[in-house]
Amino acid sequence: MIRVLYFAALADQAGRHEEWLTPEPSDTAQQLYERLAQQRGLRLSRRQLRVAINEQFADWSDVLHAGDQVAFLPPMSGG
Amino acid sequence: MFRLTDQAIDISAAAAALSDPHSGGFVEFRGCVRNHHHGRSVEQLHYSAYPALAITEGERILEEARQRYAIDAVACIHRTGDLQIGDTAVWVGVGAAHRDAAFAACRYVIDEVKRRLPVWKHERYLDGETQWVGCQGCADHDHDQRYDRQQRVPGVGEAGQQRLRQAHVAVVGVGALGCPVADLLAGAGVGRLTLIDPDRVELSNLHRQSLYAEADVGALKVDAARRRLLERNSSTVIDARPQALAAGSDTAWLDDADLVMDCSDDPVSKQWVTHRARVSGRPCIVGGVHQLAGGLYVSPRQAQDSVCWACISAQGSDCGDQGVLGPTPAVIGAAMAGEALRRLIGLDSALAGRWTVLDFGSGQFQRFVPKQRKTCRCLQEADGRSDAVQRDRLDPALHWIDLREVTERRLRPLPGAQPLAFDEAMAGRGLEPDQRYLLICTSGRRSEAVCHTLREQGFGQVWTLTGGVRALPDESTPLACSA
Repeated sequence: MIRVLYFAALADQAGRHEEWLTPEPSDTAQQLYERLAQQRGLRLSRRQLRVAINEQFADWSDVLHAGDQVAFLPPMSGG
Repeated sequence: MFRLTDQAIDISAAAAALSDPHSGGFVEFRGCVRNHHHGRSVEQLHYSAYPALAITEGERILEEARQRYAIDAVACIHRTGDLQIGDTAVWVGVGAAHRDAAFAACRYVIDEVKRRLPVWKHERYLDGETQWVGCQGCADHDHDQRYDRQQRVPGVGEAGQQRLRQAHVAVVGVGALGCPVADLLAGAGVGRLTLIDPDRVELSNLHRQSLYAEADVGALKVDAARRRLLERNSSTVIDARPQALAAGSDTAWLDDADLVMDCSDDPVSKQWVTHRARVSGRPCIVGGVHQLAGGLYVSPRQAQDSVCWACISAQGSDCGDQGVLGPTPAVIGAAMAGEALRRLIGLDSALAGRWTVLDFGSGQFQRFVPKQRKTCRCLQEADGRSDAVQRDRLDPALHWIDLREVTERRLRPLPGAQPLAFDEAMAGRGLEPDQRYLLICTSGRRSEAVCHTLREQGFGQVWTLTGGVRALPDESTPLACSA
């Protein structure tokens, strides 16, 4: 199982802040996001986001493993 | 020290913690909640954060400030939770021996915090509506409008624009060539740029380096360029690396780039960058200027047929010493950017594989195909793909270890290579310390990590395939190997 975290506008669109799910074998962060975008009706396209795996910024091509925590991060607006 | 807090920020305590008798200058920035945003009246706002990542990223920003500027101390505190008009949302404090460094470092920290910290602002307006700030500019319709004129060019379209959006271009040198290159690529919607340049802006740069203003003199070029580029296109992701390149320099950034733009005027850097691009199979576009003439080299579609700087030009050019009129590098840089867009979109180029010289003194425009010299060190140096392929031919005792997942292997089979799970390989399971191994993955990152770990564990004859299978000559043909 992996834990998926949604933030800000994405959490609103997904209707949740997190969920647990089982990734497909060799799923990359990109494949997971594109699938979830369809299932959950996420309207932000991947190119607007950054992804973090296990609390570190990661690449969309990174492969996910059981136990990973994946976070999809909309454009940031601190400060 | 970086901190997130859901309580009011105690500014006097935070400032007192930075006091140091060595500091002659102390600069503070306080960001407050204002009562308007894009003409709408704001009632209150809420900051949410991803705390674990925000704290590591915040600390990283402060460490970068310490490395870039001569400062004694730096701290930043960011609020989360509900805030009212006038509340302090973020505070940055910097102490330094002299004021210039303190001002510059403070500016750096607040700019990076706004851009990189995983914190999100949710505004509530007097009319009752709410909005996540920063997301409105990402609407697809803004995107289409911005690039409309460019997408109308035959061969570009939405698909070409999407390729630009997903591309990562490394720009080495943000001087007279790098300024127009970075400016045009960011403007065209290239998603990610890595800027590499160790220099600071000098007054003598301004006549030809269009990203910089008088106020930037003394600042790192990569920082000043990034600020300006983000004003031009706020959706561009820009990594700034104030790093000088010479033979042996770390070029991990290059392995992640889809295209390398060599805009430096330093022949040592040019040689190393073009050499690394060549052996790792990265497409590369190289520019050079000399007084009234300039040239550009566009690597051929087959990256292994590319040549390095020493083979392109018997002598490097250095516009700092030799004098240059600003328009010459502007024209060459613009031509380089045009070639970059064509390559990223997938359009043909008449300049590929050629060194094209424009001489505005004589009015001549020439193209020729540079040949690799027999003495080129790219051929001799044991490195990357050329090394691995040659070693394989010479050395049948070299075992190829395939660290890729099963679906990756299916896409590009390596017959004869032994599959081994990444975790197993990291632990050295299934491998013998006295055997010879070539570690392979898709991009070269996993194999590099395993190679490093195994060497630490005493494996003396283990190598990584730099650039991974992506860097191998022809992706359409399965490779045979001798193991």
